[in-house]
Amino acid sequence: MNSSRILPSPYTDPLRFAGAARKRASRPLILLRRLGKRLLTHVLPLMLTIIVGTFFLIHAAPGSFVEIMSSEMQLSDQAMIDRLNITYGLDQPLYVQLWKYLEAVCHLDFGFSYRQNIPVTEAILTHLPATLILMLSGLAVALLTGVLSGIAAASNHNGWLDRLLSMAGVFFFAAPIFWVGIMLVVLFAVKLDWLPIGGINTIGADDGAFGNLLDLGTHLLMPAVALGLHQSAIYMRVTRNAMIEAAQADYVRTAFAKGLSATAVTLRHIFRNALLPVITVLGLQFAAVLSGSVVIEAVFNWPGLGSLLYDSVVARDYPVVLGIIIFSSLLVIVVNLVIDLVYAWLDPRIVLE
Amino acid sequence: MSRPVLDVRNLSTAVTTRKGDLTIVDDLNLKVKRGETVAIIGESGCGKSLAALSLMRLLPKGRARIRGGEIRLEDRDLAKLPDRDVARLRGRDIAMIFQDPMSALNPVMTIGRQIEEAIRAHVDLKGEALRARSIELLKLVHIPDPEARLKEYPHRLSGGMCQRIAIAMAIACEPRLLIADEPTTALDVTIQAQVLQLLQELKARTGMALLIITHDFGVVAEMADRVVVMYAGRKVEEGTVREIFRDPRHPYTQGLLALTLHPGPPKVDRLPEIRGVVPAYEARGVGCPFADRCDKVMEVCRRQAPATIEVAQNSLNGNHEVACWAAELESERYVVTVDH
Amino acid sequence: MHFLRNFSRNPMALTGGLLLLLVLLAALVAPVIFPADPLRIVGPALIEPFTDGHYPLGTDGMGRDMLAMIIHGAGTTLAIGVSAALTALVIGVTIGAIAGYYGGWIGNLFGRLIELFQTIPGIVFILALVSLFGAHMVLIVLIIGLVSWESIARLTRAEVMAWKKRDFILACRATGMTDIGIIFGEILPNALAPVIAVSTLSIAGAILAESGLSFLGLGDPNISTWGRLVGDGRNMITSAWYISAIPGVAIVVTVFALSLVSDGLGEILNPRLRR
Repeated sequence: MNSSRILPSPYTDPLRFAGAARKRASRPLILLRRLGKRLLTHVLPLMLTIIVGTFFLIHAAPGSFVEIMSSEMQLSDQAMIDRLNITYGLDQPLYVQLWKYLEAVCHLDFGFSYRQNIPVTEAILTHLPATLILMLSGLAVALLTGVLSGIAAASNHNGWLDRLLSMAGVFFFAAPIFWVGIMLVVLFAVKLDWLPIGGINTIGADDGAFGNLLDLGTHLLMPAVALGLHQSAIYMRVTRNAMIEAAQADYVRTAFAKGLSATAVTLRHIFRNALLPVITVLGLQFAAVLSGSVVIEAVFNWPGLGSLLYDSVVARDYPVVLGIIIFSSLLVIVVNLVIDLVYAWLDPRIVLE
Repeated sequence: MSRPVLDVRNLSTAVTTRKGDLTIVDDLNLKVKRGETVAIIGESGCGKSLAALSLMRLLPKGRARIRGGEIRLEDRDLAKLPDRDVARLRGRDIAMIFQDPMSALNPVMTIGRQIEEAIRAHVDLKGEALRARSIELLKLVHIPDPEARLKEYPHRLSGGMCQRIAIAMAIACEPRLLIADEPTTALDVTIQAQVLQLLQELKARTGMALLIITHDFGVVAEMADRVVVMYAGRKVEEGTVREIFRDPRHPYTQGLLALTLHPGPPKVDRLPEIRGVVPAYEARGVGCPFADRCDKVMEVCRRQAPATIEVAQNSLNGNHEVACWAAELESERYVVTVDH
Repeated sequence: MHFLRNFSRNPMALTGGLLLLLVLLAALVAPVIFPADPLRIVGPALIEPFTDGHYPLGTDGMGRDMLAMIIHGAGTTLAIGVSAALTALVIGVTIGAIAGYYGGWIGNLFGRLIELFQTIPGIVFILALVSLFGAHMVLIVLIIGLVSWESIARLTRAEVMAWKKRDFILACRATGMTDIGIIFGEILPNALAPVIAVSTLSIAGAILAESGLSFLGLGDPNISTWGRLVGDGRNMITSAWYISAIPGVAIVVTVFALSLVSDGLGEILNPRLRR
């Protein structure tokens, strides 16, 4: 044994080094603080900008929206038009209107849909559940197929399965969602008659709770798959690349050196670390999923926000259109916030910025 | 004589390139006895790390493979075993620690879980017993406050601590041989000393053999019983630590030792060097790879790779061997070519 | 050329490039092979594809030649896709470079701008703008560009931030180069490599976006793109599904080709990832 060292070390001088670990805040507290900070510095200004932005968007459009309304409803009575102007406050200076608008939004009042004669908020909320169901199912399809095929491709790195899956991925990425939807309808509804053509349920049918659920399922299947396949290409690629990169890490070598089986290493070490980029992409892609569902709803006559948006766009029902912009942006922000927290929870290296 | 823990014969490892397989480790012969410390020394790129990875069968699939030879661990030939069987031996009979301790640990797993994983790979312990064993291992490697450490993540720990944890994981199942690939290169000098001291202590406690890969003669001097000198993928000299330091026979070894600086004012104006550069692996011909840089180079050196000869026999500690025509000429004993 | 040689070594990128060339060719020869207005009624309606020599891809519900419409559609679709991508490129690189180069409140502001456009879902924004401002082709190009620039900006920003830290930039500043000079002269030439690869992809994205828009019937009513053809055929999927299918295949092939080319470019310009 060699002579003692000059400098103290934890095992020659334990008392000096004991208690060296500082008291740290617990992880939930860190996450909560992160959430609060995010809300204040990011969410609030973003929402404000969007709301104010949409306000100016309405007013930037050619023709005041009362003019449009009156042309749509074929009003010619000037007195009526003047009354509408007063009701919507369009005779006031711009900043007053803006203030009124902001006030209304704070009360969750996004205006009135003149086409349906209901408050915008009500219109949005009635159409929201259908979209949520569709989006969640689509995401489930995308994640399941994407991540699983990504793992398969990564295990067969540069082999035939990898190439095949990558090609399939590029194909589904290239295929427009609406076209995939239509092709699915042609195959499964028209030719094979296994699934219904569109809609969210069979009109007039009521087979009890389970029957209704099944009915919903058959109607949900194709739209969800059409929505999910495009996204799954993205998840497949991200998972594959993340797994390949993680597999080359030193700690994977250590895991093998410990004597763990290939399965154990793949799941507990490689996949667990590859999950992080996948979650990041999940957040980034959410807005895209929302966009995709708008198109799918049009193809399948799905009564969600997308259909509402489409009908409102065609009818120039601006309050609804803008309400949907604000609302969908809010949805994206909330989801991104959740994803951010999930990521911070999964990756212990993230500290409060 | 007792059977060696590790008996490597004619090991060749090749790396797969676009132009075909390139042999890096060339016909390596190596023995490690029970409780012995053998050091493999050589400069970067001489193939020592690749040899170490070959011993553990940890070569990256598709990029490198063992081309030939035997790796006898007690009674089994690791080179020929199927992957699943090798996994059962890793960690249990033969273990390894690596150069960069910070990246050797999984960043998203707690220390406790990683150690438990190492234990459970070969021993069926659960719950409280498992935790107790983890703490015991941490204490063995002198980690202060082990109970608290179990819940920590690697990024919160220093390099020295991470390396000690890596050692703890490696010895968890009391392997007969621990391979340490440049275990101290990435650490501060003071921490280096601590880690080496720890390895000595563990050796004494468990009786395991140690194969330490390094480029630092200081480490060799401190730790090794026997030394293997590698150059360009081949073993050029082997002997006890005394023989290598006091009586190096291969010109490369002699050159290397001349390079080590000694305290005090320099006696010469130029720092010593070995002229030339290591030949690229693709450019290696049939002769001795050191030929172009050697002061004692002869005709035969370029024509034929030197055979390994003994220059001294010592039945207890193994033989002092050299692969050099010039050394063979100089030594008194002639071609008693050692056939392994 | 060194670049072309590298490119041709990659079989997938090569396939993509060739396909793309084919599409481009179709777009260019369209007025030669089918000089007449493709939306003109030329024959009996609903002839199936591959049955009649005169109309290799059949006719649609109104008796228009499918092949003519597809070939002409190539030009319009590509034109819109490329111009929208170019718009997105210009806006995205500018904003991304500023956001990446300048710290402090300017960088922060532009970063927030990127975040803003990342938040509003693309199609929602496109539909809203189209409903407000109309559906003229130029407007559509601008709108799609407006919705697509943020991914380019994000990439540019990341690259600029990375390159800004290099020592040679410090040296440039020390010699008194203006900021604009540094950004355009030193950083961007280096940073642009991955951006080019992504831009090819954004052409694909623009084509998909425009197709979606015209599928919904909200595109420019005076031009006929592939998306619009798919939309037109929607009513007849029970009887003549090929009317929707064939233009869709054209879109798939084009976007597929663009993706392959983009991957190939990405690999060449960033060989580190070649695994």
